[in-house]
Amino acid sequence: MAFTFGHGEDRYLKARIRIAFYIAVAFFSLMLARLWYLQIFQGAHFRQESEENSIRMKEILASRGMIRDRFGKLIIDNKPNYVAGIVPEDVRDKNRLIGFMSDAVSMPVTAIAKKLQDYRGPRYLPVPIKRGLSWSELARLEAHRFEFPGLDIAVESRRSYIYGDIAPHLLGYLSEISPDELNAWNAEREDDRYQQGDQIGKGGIERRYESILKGRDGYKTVRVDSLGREIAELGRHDPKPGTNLHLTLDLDLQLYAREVFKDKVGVLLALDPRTGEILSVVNSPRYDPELFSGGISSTNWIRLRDDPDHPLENRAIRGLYPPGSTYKIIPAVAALETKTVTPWSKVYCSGYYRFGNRTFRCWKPSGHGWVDVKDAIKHSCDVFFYTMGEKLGVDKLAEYASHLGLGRPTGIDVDGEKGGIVPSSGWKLNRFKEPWYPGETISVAIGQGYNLATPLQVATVYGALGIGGKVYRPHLFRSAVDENGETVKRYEPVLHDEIRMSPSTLNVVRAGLSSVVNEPGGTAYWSRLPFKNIRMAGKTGTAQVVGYKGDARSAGSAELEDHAWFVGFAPVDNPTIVAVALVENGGHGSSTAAPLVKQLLTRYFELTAERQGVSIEDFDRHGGATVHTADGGDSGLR
Amino acid sequence: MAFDKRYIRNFDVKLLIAGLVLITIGLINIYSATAGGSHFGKQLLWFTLGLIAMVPVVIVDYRVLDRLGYVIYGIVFAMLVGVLAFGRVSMGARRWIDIGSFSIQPSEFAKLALIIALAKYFQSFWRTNGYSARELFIPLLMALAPFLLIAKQPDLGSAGFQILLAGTIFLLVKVDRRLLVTLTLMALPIPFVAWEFLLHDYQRGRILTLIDPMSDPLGKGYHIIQSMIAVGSGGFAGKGFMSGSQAQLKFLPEQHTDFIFSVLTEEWGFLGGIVTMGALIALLYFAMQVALNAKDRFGQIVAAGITALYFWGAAINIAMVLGLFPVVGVPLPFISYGGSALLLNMVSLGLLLNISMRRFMF
Repeated sequence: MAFTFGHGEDRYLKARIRIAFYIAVAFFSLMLARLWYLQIFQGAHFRQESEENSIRMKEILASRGMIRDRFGKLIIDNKPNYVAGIVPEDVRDKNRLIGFMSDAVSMPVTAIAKKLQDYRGPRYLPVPIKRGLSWSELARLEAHRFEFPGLDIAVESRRSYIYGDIAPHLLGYLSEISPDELNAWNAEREDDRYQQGDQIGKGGIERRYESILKGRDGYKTVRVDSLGREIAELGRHDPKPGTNLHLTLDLDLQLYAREVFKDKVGVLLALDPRTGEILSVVNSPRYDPELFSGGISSTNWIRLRDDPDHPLENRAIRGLYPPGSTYKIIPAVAALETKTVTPWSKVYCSGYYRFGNRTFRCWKPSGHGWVDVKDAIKHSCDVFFYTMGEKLGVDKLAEYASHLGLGRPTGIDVDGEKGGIVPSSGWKLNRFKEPWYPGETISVAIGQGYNLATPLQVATVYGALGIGGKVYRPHLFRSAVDENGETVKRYEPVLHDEIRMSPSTLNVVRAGLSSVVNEPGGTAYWSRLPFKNIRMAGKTGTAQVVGYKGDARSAGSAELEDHAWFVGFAPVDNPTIVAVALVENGGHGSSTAAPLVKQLLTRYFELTAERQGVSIEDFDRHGGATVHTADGGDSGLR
Repeated sequence: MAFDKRYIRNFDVKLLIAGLVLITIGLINIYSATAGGSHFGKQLLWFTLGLIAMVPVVIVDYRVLDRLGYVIYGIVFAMLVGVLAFGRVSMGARRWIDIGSFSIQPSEFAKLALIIALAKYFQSFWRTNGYSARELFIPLLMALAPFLLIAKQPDLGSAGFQILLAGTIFLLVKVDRRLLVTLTLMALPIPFVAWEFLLHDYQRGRILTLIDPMSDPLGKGYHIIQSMIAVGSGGFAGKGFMSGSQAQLKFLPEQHTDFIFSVLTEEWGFLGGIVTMGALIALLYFAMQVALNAKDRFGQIVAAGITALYFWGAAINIAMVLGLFPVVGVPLPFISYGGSALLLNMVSLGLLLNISMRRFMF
């Protein structure tokens, strides 16, 4: 029912609308008067204020969270870093200032000019020119500070790497934010935005947990004089320091691992299979993260980039290698679980295996005779696994390999991880548009062929097998602790995947892997642990060099050497640690890699006993089944 | 419904021009304030969207809205609930719903929805001697419900708008005199109660800094000081396009949204301020004429409500920029950067044109 006006009825409403409008006009007149007051009457005053910009906001940087090990031991600390900068707004004689700075901090004039030119932030904020001033540079600048308006010396915090190049690939480093990163990071944040020249975590933990470590910058409002000198602080908003990270790493074990591995090329890594916590990881060769802070020099960069040993490569999670004989555990488990063989079934190894009109050799030309699964693992008999491969088919192998963590990233909390390759008929069709030939399965079954895996994946597979088939996602983050010591976040283990393993399969696998190390004739008998009850189970591997970097075949003779693998867990029946050693061009797994794991695990149990306040002999007597209890020792069975 | 040629003859070109002048002023200053960044293009896109949206809003007889008033209100209400549930959090507030790469702010559309719903309510029965408290109860709820939802985001600026609009419309349709006196007396102690019990420290801070900006020059005082320096330093003729040092050196906060008027007056001076305020007053005048000449009570109240919408936005924003009002997030109509607000203002303008050209029809 629309109401339409007759005449006269809307008079009062119209009158009120008019009155409202007059009020509006009166209000705008008042605003215009105010505008006149500000712009005309006070105009000169404000113009001067705007030219001097006497009130400024200055950032107070939050100190970055520190990085500690699982027991709270400091790994990466902060230390003051002096930065020479230029405040564009305050500069009087630009050429003279640049000339002086070039001399004082030994930097080319053109480089300084370029930094100024590329700067896009507010002109009243300092443009960082050189970070990490030496004491003599600092003294020289400080002495002449007031002769050069616009010269700024600021203190920021810088990472202090107490133990030098300790796992730099996984911990990452800090460096100046790049324009792309500036856009990417600021796209998600509305306040406390990154500024050009800010330091940011690159790579590893520093990058992944940037937002936790960074904290929240504060700021202060200051009045400055015409030379840009601060004359009064008008107010401040304190920064919130970054949150400290406690990693899963065991610093003592890590230092020991680095020492043991020396300058070999490869990886030595240990983790707790029950939770996925990484206990130590050595990539070799490494680089010094210190080189990167304040911007790496191009000489250093080229040297690292072109080093034939690839020190920048994070081999533990990015290096792809044929798993070699370490792979054999997969056909073993698959054959037992699918009842393709019983634990007592035997296969005759005559030293070679015939498939169609091709012959595949066992590594032992004279053959192993009649072998069952356990013997086959112990002696790493190729023929046994050729047979299993043919019986199971490549897709059954792929199924077990995938569920144990091969062929896709493990999900570790570090960027850039590679997934490796688990060959299957579908994969080959997809990749090469060709069907799978049964003959190819034979070499896949002993870890050659298209198989590629990272050392972390191999450790994960063995850890999962050791605890009965559960694959926990490996990780480095353990907890986040704020500046008051409160734990604000704690990592909960994530079950990544699981395979079904009957108790009998688990027993055979453990027995087989144990015999490798603990029985005479096992391929790693010379690397058994020096304890009575704590025993290690493991597997050697020797990977033929074909794939890595593609060009290895054509290179010098040392690079034709095979890669040596060893992966082991302990204690056999209740593993608390699994470790993998990969030595590039190291020859045989039994002689090069196994001793490294032996030393690492020995040290691990000694440390564990020490932390529980018992002698290693007592600890050994109890089978090493208990776990560290220091720091609330909660990594126990869950 | 045949399209009558008289619609074209009665089309209010002056009103449309006033709106377009303000949008142009806005675009120029957004370009300058963001140093030619992506905001200008986005706003231009929203402007184009606004023009497209205006076509049906102008053509379809506005009395359709009388029938659909509560439905529209219901839809916007659901969006406000939705934003609290699924909205994107930005700067600590949950105000936006993302649609592709655009995001909309339902609290803007709540303003127009409220005006239409109130107009529908008040046109349905007619009181020449003022509405009683009981009759105002439902319209009050209509304003309070979105007020609470928007305040929860929190966006006190937009929330307060609901109350301002409802209050203005109540006064225009006339409130029973005794009720008005009672309400005024009851309202008197509210500021004191609010100061003591309701306001957050930071909100009190904003009011204090208004009285003496130097008492807190870092937080909101900083904004006011820098805004006043920007405006004042513009002088009579301004520093010129893209030459405002306060704006270009990024001393100004929110320079393309809430503080666009300080960019404008810094770069275009007192002259620019007069032109802009002149255009705003012209817009309000033409809008008021639409309200005065509308042929039905619904059209009249809608037009008056939209006029009030423009007035309050302009008044609060300018007073804030000139240091006469606490810093609240209220954009300057047609001029500030912001897609949802521009779209709302343009759709409202279309509605005014619609009401205006049908003034002789029935």
